[in-house]
Amino acid sequence: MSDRLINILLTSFTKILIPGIRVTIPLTLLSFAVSLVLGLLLALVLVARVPVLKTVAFIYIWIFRGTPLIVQLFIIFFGLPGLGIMIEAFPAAVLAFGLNLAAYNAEVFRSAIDAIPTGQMEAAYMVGLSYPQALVRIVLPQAFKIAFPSLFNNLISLLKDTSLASSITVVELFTSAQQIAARTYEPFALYCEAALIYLVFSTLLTWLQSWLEGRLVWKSHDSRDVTASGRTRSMVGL
Amino acid sequence: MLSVRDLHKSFGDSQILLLRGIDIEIDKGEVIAVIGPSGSGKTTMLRCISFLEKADSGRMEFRCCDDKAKVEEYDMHRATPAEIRCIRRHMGFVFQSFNLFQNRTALGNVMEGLVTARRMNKKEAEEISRRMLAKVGLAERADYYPGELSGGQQQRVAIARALALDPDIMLFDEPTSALDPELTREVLDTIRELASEGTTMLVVTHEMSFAREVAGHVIFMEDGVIVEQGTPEQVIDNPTQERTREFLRKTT
Repeated sequence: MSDRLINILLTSFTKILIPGIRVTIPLTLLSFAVSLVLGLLLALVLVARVPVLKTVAFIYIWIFRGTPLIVQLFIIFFGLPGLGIMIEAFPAAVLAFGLNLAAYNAEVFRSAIDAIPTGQMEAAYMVGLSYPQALVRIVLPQAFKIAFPSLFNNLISLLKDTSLASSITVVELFTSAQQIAARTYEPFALYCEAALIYLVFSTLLTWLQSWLEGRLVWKSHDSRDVTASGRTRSMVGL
Repeated sequence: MLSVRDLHKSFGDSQILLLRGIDIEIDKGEVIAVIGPSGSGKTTMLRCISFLEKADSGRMEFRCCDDKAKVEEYDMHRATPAEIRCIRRHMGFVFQSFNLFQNRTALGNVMEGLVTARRMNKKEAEEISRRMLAKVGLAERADYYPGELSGGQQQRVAIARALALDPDIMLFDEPTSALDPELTREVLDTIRELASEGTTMLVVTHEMSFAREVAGHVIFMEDGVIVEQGTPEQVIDNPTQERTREFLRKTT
């Protein structure tokens, strides 16, 4: 490897990393927040079988899962101005990624809620809880635990998909790599460098996931030694 | 205290009849055991009484203790959500599969109804809940999650959860069917103790000896009708109906 290439890689590293931290990560987190809120609302509408809204949710998911993300991105950024709606590149990207992932997260939430045995709801009713109370206090916390790995999966996907924002002029991690590659004629090295930075980000997320999952367990003890009956494993129901 | 008249229930839209005109009457302090083969409609009956399932028709009279003079009558098919809430306020239900809230400790399970539904302050609710857990012999398991408890312990927590709300009647849906014999005993002991305290109970069970010992009245059901009922001596020891005799021959 020539000195020139090493020099390019070293000087470009921060030039790629900084937009990564300043743009890619906020873009990912904001879009994900939008997708969580909207996805949960869509799932609740589906689970509660709210008339009319249920159909709306179904059509929403059908469209956003059934069309390419980059097409949605282009419609929002390049298409909407034609209808008089101008959105800046960054908010347009947040909107496109958020709306798109909401459709996926809605399905994650819905299936997780469906996975909670109906007995939980029935027991909640019999101690006097209303439907919303039972949902919020009993069903959703359990469903969230089931949904968690899939949601995190989607988060990691999203992190990488934000590179598509480069196509609507958002200067994020990949855009920076593209610019430097065009200037230095070293596309192989620079795109590998960009890939490496994405890899570092997603590795951090993976660590975060396993740490959080470890805390999402309903146990009062470090289960191994002490359990209810004093045995190494509890008997029924585990 | 609670009576049900002419309860009918069919399955879905089809013509499969699960309950074909059930009449039940329970007085305060009475323990009724409901026995019968699988598919006879015992559980469905209990679920209709607690409105977990909607009956096709039927009338319920339920005297709630806080207003002794008044006897309310309810249409079991058309009961409004408000009526159902009111009825359930006075009922405790114990499920075959426990149905403890998996995201709550034993204490949290017992407290949930008091705090969320009854809006009791936490301190008072905790005091009541701890007393109820002690009553079922699980005071030292208060901080355990359901997954860390044995089946018998889970069912006793479930009983404490129902008792904490001070119900007028306890409904038990095969409370020991999911348990092995050893664990069955600890749960039955708990129910036996409630009976001795004069708790009104309607117990669907497969435990003949338990029904004989604890219940004042035994109902034998088959194919959605009550075939025979009376004292345990009459129904279990000297059944008059051939179907009852046949069922008891198979189970004992």
